[in-house]
Parts: sequence; structure tokens; C-alpha cells
Amino acid sequence: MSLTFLHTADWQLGRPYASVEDSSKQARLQQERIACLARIANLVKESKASFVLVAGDLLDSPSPTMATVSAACSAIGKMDVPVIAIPGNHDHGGPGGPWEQDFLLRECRELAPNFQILTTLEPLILDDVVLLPAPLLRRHENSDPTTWIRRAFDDDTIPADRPRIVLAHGSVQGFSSDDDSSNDAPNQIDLLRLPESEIDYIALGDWHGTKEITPKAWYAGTPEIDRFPKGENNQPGKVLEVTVNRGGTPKVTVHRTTGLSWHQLTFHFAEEADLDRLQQEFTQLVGTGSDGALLQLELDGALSISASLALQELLDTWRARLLRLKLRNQTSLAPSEEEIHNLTGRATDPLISRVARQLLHESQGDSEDAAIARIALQELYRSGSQEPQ
Amino acid sequence: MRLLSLQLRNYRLHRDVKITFDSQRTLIGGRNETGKSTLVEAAHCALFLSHRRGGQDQKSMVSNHHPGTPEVELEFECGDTRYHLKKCFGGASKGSAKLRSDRHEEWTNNDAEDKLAELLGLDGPVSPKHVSSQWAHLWIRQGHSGSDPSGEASTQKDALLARLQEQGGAVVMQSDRDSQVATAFAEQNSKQFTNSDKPRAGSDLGQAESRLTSAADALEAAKDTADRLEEAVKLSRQSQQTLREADASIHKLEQDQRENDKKLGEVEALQHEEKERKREHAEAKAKHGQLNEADKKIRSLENTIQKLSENLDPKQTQLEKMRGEHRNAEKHASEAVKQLNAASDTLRQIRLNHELAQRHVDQFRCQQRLANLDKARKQVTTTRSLLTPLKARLAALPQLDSKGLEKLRTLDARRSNARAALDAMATGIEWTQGKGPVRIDGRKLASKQVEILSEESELIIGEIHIVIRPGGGANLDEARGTLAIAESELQASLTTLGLADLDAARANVEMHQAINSEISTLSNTLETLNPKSLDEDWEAHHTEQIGLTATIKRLAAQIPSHPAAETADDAGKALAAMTSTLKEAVSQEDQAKGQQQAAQEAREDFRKRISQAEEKLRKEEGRLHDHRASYKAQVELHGEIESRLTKLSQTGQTRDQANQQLKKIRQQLETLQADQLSALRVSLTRSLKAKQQLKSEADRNLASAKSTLTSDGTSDPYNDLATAEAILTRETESYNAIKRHAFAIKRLADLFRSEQQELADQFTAPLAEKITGYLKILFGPDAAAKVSLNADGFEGLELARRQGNFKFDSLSGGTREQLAAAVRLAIAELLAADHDGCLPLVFDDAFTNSDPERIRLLQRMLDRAANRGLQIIILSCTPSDYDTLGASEIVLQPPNSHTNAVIATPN
Repeated sequence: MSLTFLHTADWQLGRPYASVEDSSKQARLQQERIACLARIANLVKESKASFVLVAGDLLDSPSPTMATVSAACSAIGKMDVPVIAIPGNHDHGGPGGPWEQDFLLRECRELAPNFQILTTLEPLILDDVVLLPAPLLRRHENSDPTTWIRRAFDDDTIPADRPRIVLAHGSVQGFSSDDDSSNDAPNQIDLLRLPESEIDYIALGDWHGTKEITPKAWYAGTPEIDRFPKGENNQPGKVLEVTVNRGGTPKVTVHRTTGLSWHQLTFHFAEEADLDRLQQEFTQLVGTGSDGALLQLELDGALSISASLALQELLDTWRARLLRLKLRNQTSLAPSEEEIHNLTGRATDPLISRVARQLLHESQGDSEDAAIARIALQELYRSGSQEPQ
Repeated sequence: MRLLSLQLRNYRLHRDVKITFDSQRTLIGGRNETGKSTLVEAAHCALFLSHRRGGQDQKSMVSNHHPGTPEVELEFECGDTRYHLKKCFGGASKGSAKLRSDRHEEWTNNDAEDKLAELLGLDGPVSPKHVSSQWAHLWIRQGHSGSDPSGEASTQKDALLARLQEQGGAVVMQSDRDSQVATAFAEQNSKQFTNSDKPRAGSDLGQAESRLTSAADALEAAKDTADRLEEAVKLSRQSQQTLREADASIHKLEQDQRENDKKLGEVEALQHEEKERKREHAEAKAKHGQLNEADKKIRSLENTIQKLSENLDPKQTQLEKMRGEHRNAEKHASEAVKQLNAASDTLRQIRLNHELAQRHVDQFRCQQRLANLDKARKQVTTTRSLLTPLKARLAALPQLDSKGLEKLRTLDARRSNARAALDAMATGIEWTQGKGPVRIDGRKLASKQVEILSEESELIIGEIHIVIRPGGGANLDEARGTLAIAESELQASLTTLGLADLDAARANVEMHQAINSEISTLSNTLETLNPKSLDEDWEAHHTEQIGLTATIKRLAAQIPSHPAAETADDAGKALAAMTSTLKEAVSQEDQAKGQQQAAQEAREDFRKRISQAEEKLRKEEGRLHDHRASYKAQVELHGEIESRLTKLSQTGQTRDQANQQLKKIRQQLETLQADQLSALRVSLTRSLKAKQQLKSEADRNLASAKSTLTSDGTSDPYNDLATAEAILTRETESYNAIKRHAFAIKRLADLFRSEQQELADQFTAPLAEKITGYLKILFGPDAAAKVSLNADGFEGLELARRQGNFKFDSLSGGTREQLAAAVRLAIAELLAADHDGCLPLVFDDAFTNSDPERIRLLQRMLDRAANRGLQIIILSCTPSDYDTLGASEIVLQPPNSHTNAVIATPN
């Protein structure tokens, strides 16, 4: 008998997006994570999934606000199938975690009676499936939370007639949500020591991109992208539709669920017309930038003063339109011959000429004084002195 | 422009005074209050103050001594034209002005004022409030010589700049755009930074700095909150761990305690049984002991009774024997008493006889003594009868003893000495030859008759009267007085004694001594006899005699046949015989006493020994009796020997059985280690209590942690922390960007300022050079001046010397007025170009702080200025200080209010 369910993780509801300065954009980003749950609800209906498994980090914080809790419960309650989750490192199940907060328990009862959080190391035997949870009971768990599962099949307490699904949150060999995936890192899961034949699927969380580790072990990734992807293999913004049966190989289908578009653009300025080229590339990639897009922009190369000033205006515009412009501007100022002439060759404005010459001299090099001199040069240029004589 | 002459009428203290100026150097001297400064002021008013000016300005001109409207007439030349200016300061209605040129041109009142302003290079007549500032850089009034002239020169800034531009033609001037841009950056910079280059509050940089601080504070607060939650989590986990461990410990402890309590129950039961067995053992042991003791006692009593019975018989035999010996001793004692009584009787009789014999002897001795006493008493009577007449004779003699005789002899000797002295002073007169008569004191002196004169006498021989004063007069009288006293005293003594003379006295003393000697002899005899003692002795023997007679009579009555002695010898012999007899009787009686005492002691000894033996025997019989009674009672109580042995055997068995059981119980107790069980129980109880407390504490901590961890849901502390960190990062970046931008603006402002300064320095160089030219005269070839130009005018006047640069305000008063004078001269030189190459400079007591040497040098400096076309006018109360200037000198005299005008012209 096969069974279909949705595997998702790392919803991280209530994520603050603190690096986004504008509060309305922050709210938009936060709301999008809730809106994503509606898309998952639709997917439940479409796939006729029996239940939804959330492999940890449903909440972004151990101390979510009441608004976050209510919004989360409301969205979960609309999924119409059981939603079963384990605590992850963001919303661990130990003291100080969110799952014993009175308000959350109350909201779950009232808004999401279909929700169940598994915080104990014991199997949950349902009519058609056995769930083997490996909840994190603290933010950093130094021992493998799946250890208990290795011996869970030593006796006959677990029925043999239905699929067995492990729920775990953490890093497996070679994959982690953090850069540090060494053996000393916390929340390590050793998949190799789990009795593979006894298990039909391992629903993993923590890695925000969708990733197949083994045919039976998958990271679902976050359903709503929350950071600029690291590399092309990183495929966030997905939910997995999984069909399993006891003793068989699971069938996994990937569904895109993300609502916002996260883009990356790297550009090199080589000549004066490159500013227009940048604008074209931006349009091709992002459009106007005002439709819920985020951009990680890396710039380098040299710019004249006028181009630099124009770039600043352009960046200001994009910064306003985009939900977030993450800029790494490594361009350098390279005044054109004309600009230099206009600044330093002003016979009728001897002071401006002398000051410009001094600033040009000072702007050479990588020192802080040189950086200040470059800005001063731009300001002098901007002051109107660039007008030809 | 050059001043030619000045005339004042009715102007303050001046009624009418006129002075004529030298074209180059004029020195106006005069003591204080001669009106020097008034001249300068009047000239200034003529040039710049409207003739219609009233009010205080006009009133201050009016003279208190000279009626009439104040008038000032000033002659001057501009270019090659001479002008005569006359102003009457009569207020708005009466004031007038007239200006004439030597070209017959004439202007009156306002026209005159307008023309005058034109000649002075002004845009028009000067408004009253700006009058005082006109030519302030050229005309130095009293007390203003030490002020920085660059400020005063600012009123002439435009003119100066034009001159400097002319002279420094090579210097580039900043453009209007330069100025606008520089000003814009300066303004932007001043909005960001204070004068001390600190970010200004409210500026972009200040706000960024403030936001950065706030972000850092917010992060700290968020960290604190998150840390508190983490601490609570930690506490919660620790408390849960503690609770788990405590529960496990308590469970184990309670189990241990139950087991321990079970063993303790066994111990208690065993201890109870031990107690019972112990009691049984003790009772059996005591009963056995009692029986054993009773048996031993009975057996002992039997032995004792037997021994006592055996010892009693010989003692009774011994007692009977002692009683027989006692009776014999009684008999001996009775006989000894009889013998003693007989000896005592014999002795008593002999004692009576001996007493009688003794009394007889005493009686004879007493009689003999009485006879001797009677004889002595008669001798006393005889002596006394001889002594009485002798005492009567002695009493009849004058009471003169040898001492009184010696006194008389002394008085006589004194008298004889007085006589001899008188005789020695007397003068002897003898009529040895011639005719007479010779008379002394009327008495006739016979021829050859020696007449001794012992007192003043008159000697008459014929008609010759001679007064003779023996001894000189006075001494003779004294000797005579002494003699009279001596004679009188002697005679008085003799008379008192009833004696005729000294011989009679001697005889009386001899008689006195003879009678006394005889009385003494008799008295000694009488004393030797001692009549009183004789009487007393006689009385005593007489009494004894009476007593002896009575005693002898009494004794004789007790002795029927006593021998009677006839003589004393007989009596003595009888006494001696009786004494011997008595001695022997006493010896016999003493012997009888000894025998009687020995017999008595022997009898007493027997009596005591018998009594002691009887007592001892009685006690032993009593003991025997007691033992027999006790034996009987014990046997009655404990039975005969067979019965006792049976009982002893039974109680012994009971005791041994109880002892065996006891040992067994104690072995069991030892195995159970009862003491350690109790200690363990205490320990377990204590541990349980401690664990319970630990658990309670953990419960409390858990509750506390839970309370802390319970979220009110209004905020998310962890996300707040992440947000605070992001904000801090963002604000740091923002601050750095704003700061960099602000510093860029600052750099621009600094660069423009610096460039402007450099340009200004180049621009003001001609002025500085001119000043330096004057300063070198004063301070030597190394001296130089620095002056800057800014938007408001000139500033930063400094004196550069070998020792360094000195700002104007830091210089001494003297140096300031010298440097100021140099600056004024240089400015005047520059400005003079607008006034046909000449301007008048007035120094009114301007060098009061300068020493004579500097004043000497100043004259060279002023001379240089005059040579360069300036008109130098010096006003001084000590004109001799400026002798080397070579100026035309005008000396003002104190004005006489009643005299007419003073016309002063240069020498």
C-alpha cells in the first residue's frame, strides 16, 4: 500500500529579515513566508497528500511573537491534512523553546487541530505509517538525535506492514546549513548508521536547498527562498511530494512553491557605455525590479566621475524598487580626461582648479584619505563646477 | 590731499586760533589743555561732519567762554587746487558751509558738503553715525594708538584692494564661482563640524553617530535579554537534570532506608530478647549466688561456734586463779595501812615535843635581845640631853658663816682701796721757810707742817690766795665718793650682823664653827644608834615574847611530861635532841607509807586484770551466743545441707542456660551491626532531606526559569537580537559612509580655505612689504609684517622677528603703537594714490608707551613717510621728543578767555 505525503522543512516563520532596512519590505518578506503555506495547502489538494511532514525549523525563533504564531497556526489549519513537525535548531523542543508556550498551544488547539509537534524520541505509530522523529531538544545538539532509531527495530513494537519514515533536522556528511560542517559541528546526523532496510524514507531539514542525499533521504529545502542561493546546485523554494510503500523506493516529485524572486548579478565596468549595459542586464534579469524581487549585485571596474554619479542614482532607484539590493560595489573612480580638464583647467576659477589638482593627487591609492579625496572630487564635480567654461 | 591751515573761532576753549600746516611735517606742541586735540577734532568735523549737525555733536563744540557760533575754517589742496572751507556749526537752522577754490569756484551748504565728499573720495556726505570712523586709520586720536589698525582699515577695504590689485598685478584673484563653491563647501562643512572639528549635533554625521550609538545600545540591550533567556534555558536544563538525579537518588535512598529499617526492626527484637535473657541470667545468677553465700555462711558459722567454744574454758580457769591472788593482795594492803597509822601517830607526838623545844630556845633569844635594846635606848636619851644646850648657844650667835665673813672682808678691802686711792690723790703742803702766816681754807698752816689736801682748798699766803685742786678736781671727788660708799656698805653689813667690826666677826665665826663641830659629833652618835629602829625592834621582840609564852603554854598542855629548860643552852640542847628524834620518826613514817602504797597498787592491779578478764570472757560468750543464734536462723531459712545443695544445683543450671542464650543473641546483634544501622539511618535521613531540599530548589529554579522563558508574545528576543545586530551593521556602514562624505566635504572646505589664504597672502604682499619697510627702521633688517585678507577685511596682523612671529595682541603696549603706526603709514601710502599722492596723517600723543630710543627711530619712520609724500602732523605735549624730525613746530599757549585770537604758524 503506497502512501503520498508532502515533505517540507525550514519554513522559519517569523524570520525578521533584519538586513532589510525598510520595515514595509521586511513585512512583505515575512508575509511571503506565510503566503507560501497557502501554496503548500494547494499542493496538498493537488497531490492528495495524506499529511505534511515538516522536518524542523517551522518557526524561525524559539520565542516567536504572538502574531507569527497566530499566522502560522491559521495557515497550517487550512491545509486540511495532518501536519506533523519536529523541532529544529531554530525552534528546538527543549526549555526555552516555543512548543510549550501557552499561547502557541492554545492557538494550535483553536486554529490548527491538525498540527502535531513530535518532541520525544519515540515512534509515532499511525494507521498507515510509522513516524520515527529525531527532534532537536536544544539549539546545538552534540549527540546524533537519530541514535535511538538504530535500535528501534530490535523488538517488534513497530508494525512491519506500513511505511516507516524518519524525521530529522541537521547536517549529514557533506551538507549543512552552515558553512561549518565538520565533525565537531552540532546537529550531526549519521545516516549510514541507520538501518536502511527498516526505513522507507528519511525526511531531512536544515539545508535550505532541495537535495537528494540518497534515494531514500532528501532535504526538502525551504519552500520560500530566504537568502541569495549559494551556487547553482542550491535549489531552494521547493516542496517534495513523496510516495512511499513499505520496503520500496520512494518516489519524489519536486514542486516550486516560492513566491519571491532572488537574483544575482555580477558586472564589470570597462567603458563609459557600460552603465547602459548594466541597466539592460538588470532589466533582463529582474524586470523593473518592483515585483517582489531581491538582487545581489556585485560591481567592479572603473568609472568616471559622471558615470559614478549616474550609477549612484541608478542604484538609489533599484534600492527603492527592490525588496532588497545587496550591493558589493568594488568599482574605482577614474575621472575622464575631459572631467579632469574641466576640473583642473579652469583658468577663470583658479581656486577650483587648484583644489581639484590637489584632490586628484590625493585620490591615488587605497588609503582612507584617498577614498575621501575621491568622494571630495565627486562632490566638487557635482557642485556644478563641471560646467564647461 | 594736503592740509594747509586751520582756523577755529568760538570752538570750545579757542576763541580764535589759526595754525598753518607744513606741507610734510608739522609738530604741534603745547601743554595739556592747550587745545591740541580740539584742533584735530575740529578739522575732522570740518571735513566729515555736516554743518547742519545739531544735538550733542554741536553742543560739544560750543565754547563756555566765548559767545558765538563755533566756526572752523580749513584750507587744503587737492591736486593743484587750493580750497578754503568754512563751516559754522550752528545746528540745523543756523549751520552753514562754504567751500571756495582758488579757481573762484564756490559752493555753499549742501553743495559744499557734496563737493567736499567728492574731494575726499566719498560717495556722498557722511552720515552722522559713520563720521567717527572716517579716516580712523589715518588720524590717531589720544588713547587709540595701540589698537589694531587693520580693523579700522576695513572701511577702506575696497579702496585698498583696488590699490593692492594695481600694485600686485600678477596675483590671480578668485572668481565668483570660486567664491561660491568655496562658500558652499565651507557652509556644508560648518553644518557638519563645529569650530573644533567635532561632529555637530543634528548634522548628518552627528545624527549618524547618534544612531550608531543607539544601535550599539539596542544591541547590548537585546544581548542582555537573549543572555537572560539563555541563562534561563541553562538553569532550566540544569534544574531538570538535578530533578532527575535527585529523584533517582531519593528512590535509591528510600530503598536503602527500608532495608535498613527492616534490619533495625530485627535488631530491636533481638535487643528486647537480649534484655529478657539478660534479666533471667542476672536473676538466676543472683539467686545462685545468694544460696551459695548462705551455704558458705552456715558452714562458716559452724566453724566459728566450734572454735569459740574451744577457746572459752581455759580462760575461765585463768580467771578463778586471778581472783584468789586478788584476795591475798587485799590482805597485805590492810596490814600496811595499820603500820602506817602507827608511824604517823608517833611522828605527831615527836613533832609537838620538838615544837616546844624550839619555842623555848626562841624565848631565851627574845629575852636577850630585849635586854640589849633597853641599853641602847638609854644611851639615846643621854645624847639628846647633851645636844639641846649646844643648839641653843648656836642659835644665840650672829648668823655669820665663813662665806659672810668673806663678804665682809671684801667690803673692807674695797674700803681700804678707796682710802688708799684718795690718799694718793691728795696734795701735801709744807711750809718749809719764810714768813707767814699761811692759811689754808682759813686754817693756819704751821711751818714745816705737812698738810694733806684731798679736796679743793684755798691757800693764802699774805695777800696771795692760791686755790689748790688735788687730783684735778673731779677725780678726787669720785675717789672720795667711792670711799664713802665702801665704808657705808661695810658698816651696814656689820650693823646688820650686830658686830662691831671685822675682828668681832672673825671671832664670831670661829665660835660658830666650834659649836657646830660638837653638835655634829653628837648627832652622828644619835644617828648611829637609830632611835626609831631601836623602838621598833624593841616593840617587835616584846610582842614575840608574849606570843612565845602563850605557845609554850599551849604546847605544854598537850605534852603531859615535858622537860623544862632553865637556860638557853639547855633549851638548845633539848632542841637538838628533839630534832634528831623527829628526823628518825619522819623516816619511819615514810617507809610505812611506801609499803602501804605498794600493797595498794598490787591490789589495784589484780582488781583491774580480773575486771579485764571478766569483760573479755563476757564478750566471747556473747559472740558465741550470737553465732549460735545466727546459725539457727540461717538453717531455718535455707534448710539443712542436703536441701541447700539441691537448690544450688538448680539455680546454677538456670544461670548457665540464660548465659548461653545471651551469647547467641549478642552474636546475632554483632552480625547485624546495630550501631552502624542506626548511624546509617541518620545518614540516610539526612541524605534524603538534602536531596529533597535539592529537589525543592531545583523545582523553584525550574519555575523561575519557566517564568523567564514564558513569552508574552509581544516581541521575539532572538529575532530582536538578530535585528539589532543587523541594524548595528547597517548603521556602522551608514556612519562610515556619512563620515567619509563629511570628511570629503571638510577636505574640500579646508582646501578652498587654504587656497584662498594663499591667494590672499599673495594679494596683501604689497601692503606687507610697505609695512615691513617701516618696521625695519624700528626693529632692524630682520623684521617683517604679516597681514591677511579675508571677506571682512584685513586680519591677522603679526610682527615677524628673528625670535618668531608675534600676533598684534600679544605685543607690548609700546610695540603695538609702533607696529600700528607702521601699518597706518603703509595704508596711507597705498590710499594716497587716490588723493593725488598725499594724505594727512595725524598722531595725537600716539607714542606715550614708547621709550626715547624708539621715539627717535619713530621720527625716522615718520620722516620716511613724509618723504614718500604723506603729510605728517604730530601733536605732543613734549615736542622736544621730536627734535630730529625736522618738523615745523607750532606751540600752543594756554588760551586766555579774554584775549583775542592766537595765530600760530610754523617756525
